[in-house]
Amino acid sequence: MYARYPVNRAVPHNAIVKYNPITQVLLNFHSGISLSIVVTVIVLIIFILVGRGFCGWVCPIGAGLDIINKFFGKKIRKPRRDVRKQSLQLKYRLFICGAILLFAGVSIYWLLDPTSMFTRNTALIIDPIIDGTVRAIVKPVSRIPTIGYPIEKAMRSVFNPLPVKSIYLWLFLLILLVMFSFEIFARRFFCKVLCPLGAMLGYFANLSPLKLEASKPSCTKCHRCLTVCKTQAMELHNELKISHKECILCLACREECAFNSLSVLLRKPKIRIDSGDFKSTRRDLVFGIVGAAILLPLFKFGDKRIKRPEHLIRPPGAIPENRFSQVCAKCGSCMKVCYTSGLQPTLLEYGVDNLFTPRMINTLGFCGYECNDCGKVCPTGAIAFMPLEKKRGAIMGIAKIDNQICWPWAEKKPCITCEEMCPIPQKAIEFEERPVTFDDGTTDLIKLPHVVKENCTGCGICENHCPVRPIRAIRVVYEGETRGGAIRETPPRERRVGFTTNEPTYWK
Amino acid sequence: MKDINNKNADWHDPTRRKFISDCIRYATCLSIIGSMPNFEGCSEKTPPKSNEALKKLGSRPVPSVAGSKIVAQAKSGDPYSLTRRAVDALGGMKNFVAPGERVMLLPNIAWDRNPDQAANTHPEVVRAVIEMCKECEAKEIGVFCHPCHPAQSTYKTSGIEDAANKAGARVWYVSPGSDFVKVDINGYILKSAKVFKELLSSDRFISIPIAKVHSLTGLTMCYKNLMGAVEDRPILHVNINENLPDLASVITPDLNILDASRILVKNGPTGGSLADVRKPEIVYAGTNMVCVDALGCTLFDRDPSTLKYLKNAKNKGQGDYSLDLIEIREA
Repeated sequence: MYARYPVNRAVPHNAIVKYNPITQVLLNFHSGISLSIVVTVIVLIIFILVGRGFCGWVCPIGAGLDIINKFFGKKIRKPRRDVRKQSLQLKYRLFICGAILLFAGVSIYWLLDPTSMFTRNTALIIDPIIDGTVRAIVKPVSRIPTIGYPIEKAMRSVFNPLPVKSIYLWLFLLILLVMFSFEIFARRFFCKVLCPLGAMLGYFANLSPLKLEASKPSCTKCHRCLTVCKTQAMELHNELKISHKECILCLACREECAFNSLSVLLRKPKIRIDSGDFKSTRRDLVFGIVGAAILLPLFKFGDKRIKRPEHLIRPPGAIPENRFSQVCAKCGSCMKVCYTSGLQPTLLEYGVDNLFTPRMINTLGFCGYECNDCGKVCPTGAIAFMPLEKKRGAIMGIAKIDNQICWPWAEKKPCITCEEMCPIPQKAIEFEERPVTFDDGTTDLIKLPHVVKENCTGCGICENHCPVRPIRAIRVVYEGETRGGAIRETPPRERRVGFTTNEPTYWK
Repeated sequence: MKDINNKNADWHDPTRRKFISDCIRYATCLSIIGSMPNFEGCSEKTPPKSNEALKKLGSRPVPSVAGSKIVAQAKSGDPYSLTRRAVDALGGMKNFVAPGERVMLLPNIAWDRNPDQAANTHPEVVRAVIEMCKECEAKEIGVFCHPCHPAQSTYKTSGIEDAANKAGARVWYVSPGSDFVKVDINGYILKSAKVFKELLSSDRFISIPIAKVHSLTGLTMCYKNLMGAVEDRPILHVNINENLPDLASVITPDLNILDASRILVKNGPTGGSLADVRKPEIVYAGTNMVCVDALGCTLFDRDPSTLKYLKNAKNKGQGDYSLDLIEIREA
């Protein structure tokens, strides 16, 4: 059994978004040139060599759409139904607009990026469903004598023993189903019309040496390849013309062609742009720039008026708030590895540019004292990697006790749960002792908790276990947080045990 | 024309393919629906009548040393041999476990701490108890505890899960979703508690606490360890000094083995710093919780009468903590 998600595997679970060329370029853009530029260059070279073959052979969203088409394609769509040629240009405009916004500091590009979408969907839909199903099956199975317990042990060596919680599972499932439902209009609708990564690879497709070509002698112009082409990359007027920008090298046409005239050949990469392409590229640029010019002020100037709410707690090691939403790829990797399921996506409550970024919800989970996994898996560096000892100095916030509702403070009911749970060795909660007269006339000393600000890291386990409802009596706010790999400078202090003060209480 | 492929298959005339595809469809829908997270309080299951649950627990035959004021004390050695010596001084585990019985062990596995940090029971102590129960031909030995930190880290880091699996016991994971059964308690304040289901259906109950300081009760030893068997721990902390003896009146262990091979003298019960750990190298074993706790107090230089829960337990007739009335058997 493992205690937490295995983040040290050779191929990380978020490899597809980590080695996305856009992520790699942005990584160097945001955190400066370092040794990681070697990886960036290797990734860029591979993507240039492969071109849009990525879309046809690697992209998981494309694979998902192909699977849907294989099983349901005929039932949900009239045969030969395709989008207009004009619609194919939309993805290029979305890409230009998104890329300009990215470098200007607004990262809504990631909402449409297929690699981020896939990682997000596995983290927030597929894994919780599989987890819940396996758990529901193993629970009765483990009661079977003799073989039940080994089966349970085998399950625990693969699955996190704690239930995985994804609070917006229904929303992400809805978005996924809506996206899949676009297949009603055309095959691979997302890839053809919306995908910005495909658009970028399309622009650089001429640099790739792999090109699909028809051999003129054997082509009988029978139109069969056009009917199976998934991305409408072919045109047939006088002769068969293949648009390398659109062709994803899936080879469906080659399988269909009865005369064996289509094949992928190695050709010298073309640096020049064709004249037809040039016109449409220019139009894309215009649309993209205008779109970015319209959207940029909405994000940059509109959101400044929303002050950050005190309960928006970011993962430990997160870079400063004004840059966090810019760098975060909204991929959900951190939420997947958080073993208490405390990290959850935000929706629109903190603005559109914070959509799907992680926050720590202490009523669901908390930041484990022994864990630093979110920094290990973050592909963009929005959560800085910190070794465990250093991460314990990274402050997420401070716990504050609400002495209007805390049981010892407000109702003469002894309770010590927050102090019991505090994982800091020096403890971030100390006690004041006061004489109290209970309702039955007996007098005693009652322990009143105080937070030790110098020791508290804002992990939230106190808020998670506080028994007071409906609002917890101790809550973490973001005061005093250290961001971006910084740690608290002052050392923890020895807490006082059983001191007395003359401050007022609220006993009724 | 004959419908060769049975394209019009329906409920009355199904094909194998349709049946399998229907099953997969239903299973997928059910699993999607079933895995949606619930709001707190929406998933109350109707519990069985609690008196029936208690009947099994109260009808066990009383072992020969039960209820007596004998406490075995084993000094200086490693945790494994200390435990063995202590139980042997009480006449051996055969006095407590009969062949074919189902034994449940409750060590302290509440905290995400390693054995040196003295927050959980030492895994070697648990291993010794499991092996002794196996020698008595127990049918099934279960190890469980409702932890404070998440189960998957506490069970692993404390080393108890590995030690228990290696020794051949079954490790029960107590986490949200485990089964707890409501038990009525005729207590001063506590009227009911939800107890771990497997414990109520077992034949023997052995509690294996560790001795530590605690901010609320003063010290945490045998009585406080029973909190590992109930579900709603936080609310029990209110009036804990009355609740603990009330809880002990319904889930009484047959044997208590107090692990004092290393103890926490400061910043308990969570601990974390090795500077707060001391090593008396002692293990106590006894059937009466008040007596075992009274001896545990001597490790911290505390007078048992200053611990309110012990006083309440004595007033309820659960035992006496006067040290001259307790018979200490050296092992």
